[in-house]
Amino acid sequence: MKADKMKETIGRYYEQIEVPADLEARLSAAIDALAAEETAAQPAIKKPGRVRLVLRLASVAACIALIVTVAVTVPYGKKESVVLADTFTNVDDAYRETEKVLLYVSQVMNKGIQKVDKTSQSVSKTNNLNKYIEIKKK
Amino acid sequence: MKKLILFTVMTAIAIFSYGQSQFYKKYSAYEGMTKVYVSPSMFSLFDEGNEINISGNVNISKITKKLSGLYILSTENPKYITEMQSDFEKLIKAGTFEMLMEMEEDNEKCVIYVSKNKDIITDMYICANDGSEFNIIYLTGEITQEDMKGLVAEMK
Repeated sequence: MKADKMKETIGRYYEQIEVPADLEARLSAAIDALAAEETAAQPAIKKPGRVRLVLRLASVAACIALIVTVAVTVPYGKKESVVLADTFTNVDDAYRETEKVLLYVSQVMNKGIQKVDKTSQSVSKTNNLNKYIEIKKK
Repeated sequence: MKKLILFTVMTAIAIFSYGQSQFYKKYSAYEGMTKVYVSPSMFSLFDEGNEINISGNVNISKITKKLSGLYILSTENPKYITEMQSDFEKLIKAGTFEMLMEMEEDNEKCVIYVSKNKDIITDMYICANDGSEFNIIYLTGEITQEDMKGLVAEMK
């Protein structure tokens, strides 16, 4: 009995309250506004600048290392590896070629030494001339 | 980070530093390149019977006994010349070479580089360019300074 009476009283109370038509829209707008405020208040979580720089440099260096490794290990071009073989099969021919080379080296060295010798003779003559001029001045 | 940089630098050096035989092997494969190679085995076959008297008071017989290898590359192709010159400069810079002599006369330029082990010349590069032809000669062996003096003619 008492429960029934209570229900009646509560029902009559709620019937007297007017619920605005746009209540749902106003509530959701308020919730959205509060959520936006909360997001704006929290700063974006960023990694420290130094860590980002290191990661970038490491990624660049890793790319360079990868390119270099590929360039070194992967054979390019169609040239086959050359196996060294004597040009001459005859010892005398090899010796004559060696002689030619050494004679050429000798010619170059002798030309250079002759030029040095001529230059030193010129310098010596100039020094003698200077001494003569100094003596004459005195 | 330091290890990564060191690895990158060392790999880059490896790419650009050719060994002497690598230099010869690379260019001897080029079409039209004149090449000569005399191996240590061939040099070991040189004996007293091969000596020939040379005029001009120059004695090369002592040096021929001390040599263990001879490489010659010669070309007139301008493209090859540019490439060889560039690679040769890198080769010289990468090794412990000193300039023995540089001579320039008219259009001909010749530079001699040597690498020594104490007082003994173990490697000798002769780079000659006369404008139209480019030659690189490489000698290996154990040449003493006394042997080198044998290449110099007696002065009158």
